[in-house]
Amino acid sequence: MPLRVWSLAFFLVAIFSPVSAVAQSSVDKPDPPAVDISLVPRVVSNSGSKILWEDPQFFSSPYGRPLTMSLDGENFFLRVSVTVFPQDSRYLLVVQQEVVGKKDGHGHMKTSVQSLLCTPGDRLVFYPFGRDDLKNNQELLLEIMVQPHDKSH
Amino acid sequence: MKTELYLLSAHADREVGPPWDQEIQRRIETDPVWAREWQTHQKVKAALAGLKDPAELEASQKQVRDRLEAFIEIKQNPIRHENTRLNFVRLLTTAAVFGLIVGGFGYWMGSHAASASASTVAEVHVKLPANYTPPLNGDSELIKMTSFEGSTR
Amino acid sequence: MTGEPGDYNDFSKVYDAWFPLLFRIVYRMTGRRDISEEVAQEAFIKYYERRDILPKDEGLKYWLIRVVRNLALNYEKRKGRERRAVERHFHEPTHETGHEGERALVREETIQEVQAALLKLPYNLRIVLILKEYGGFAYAEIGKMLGITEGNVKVRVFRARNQLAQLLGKEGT
Repeated sequence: MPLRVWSLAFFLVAIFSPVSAVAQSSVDKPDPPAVDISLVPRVVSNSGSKILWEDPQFFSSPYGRPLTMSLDGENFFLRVSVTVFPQDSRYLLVVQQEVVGKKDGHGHMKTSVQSLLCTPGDRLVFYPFGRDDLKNNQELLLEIMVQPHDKSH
Repeated sequence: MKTELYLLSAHADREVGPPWDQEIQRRIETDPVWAREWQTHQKVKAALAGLKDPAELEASQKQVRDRLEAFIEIKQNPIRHENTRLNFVRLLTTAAVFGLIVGGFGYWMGSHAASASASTVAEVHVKLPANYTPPLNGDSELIKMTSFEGSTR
Repeated sequence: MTGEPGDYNDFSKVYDAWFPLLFRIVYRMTGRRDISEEVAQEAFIKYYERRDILPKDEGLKYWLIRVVRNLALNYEKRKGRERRAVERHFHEPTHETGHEGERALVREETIQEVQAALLKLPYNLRIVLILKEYGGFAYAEIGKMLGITEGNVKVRVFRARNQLAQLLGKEGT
């Protein structure tokens, strides 16, 4: 008789411990992704008619989570964070950047924050150093596109 | 049958039988519009014929074959578990010990997760080409390409 | 243009007979070796899993083509919008800067230019043209594979070649 009681007790512990663990962990489950975001940094020339370099990156993310791209350049470090918030049927895109110059050890820093309302599939372009009006110079841009999350990916 | 211009393409592919092929040929020889279209289609066919099989075809064929053979091997020889005779006490004791371990681990994981931030930042690092050294004093811009609506700060 | 497997019950023979065809078609559709390998592999996995119920004749070839067509279309949907947006903005300087005369000159295309021009065709025109030019299929076969009429195939091939001609600057003079 005592053996059966002990066995039953162990059995109940075996059943309920994993259940409680699952319940505990589900409280802290991360938010499911809401949007698919493509961030494509490019170096272009001739007013964008020629692509010299690019490195496309793709993310799935819940709203409100910043996606950060750190770009290591020859004479600068650049950090761009993109955060998407829902706004009615559109997206509010917030782009923050920090630029640190690498020059003789005296880096200067510049920050900016911008935001834009867009609809799914809109093509947004972020120019960290502004648009180049001199057609022969190269310029860096970050192409951003936000779409509803596709669960089949 | 009214001979439509689009049949020129089929004629170039020898997909038009008599007597329509003769009618098309006559049009090519007498009608400048047909003659011009015929030249266009011949040039395009020649350009497309210039695309030979990709050089990687053989290597890809071998690579995919290797992967498929591994897949078939797994399908044909799944891992089989021997049936073990378990008596009641052994089963319960094993379940209890396992449950305690899993439950304890799960609880520990759960308490660990509670302390981490739910909004973990997703970050990528990208190295830019060495020959890109922009002036760092420009103002960043965020624009929407479809309507050139923008935000500048 | 395509060999037959000889023994339709031998997976290895079917693979060797038709992998080049499938790879070639997807490669022309996407321009990507990795995608072509992935799609061809997926098609043969699907074939392996269904080999007992699939046709054991030329119908199998058409079935495989339909599978890679659908898989390539899925890839197209995933990547196509971004790629078209890039090309619309960055690869049409002639429309913005008025250099139409340069495009009308007769010039030798590189292989990359022809492949790039193929990728710019709308999917429905591109698949038909590629099945014709690189699959060696008759219009009737293409219609059967894609579930469209032979007349539709003829119109699409015509339109595809016309658009390609414009992209390559090959209008007849």
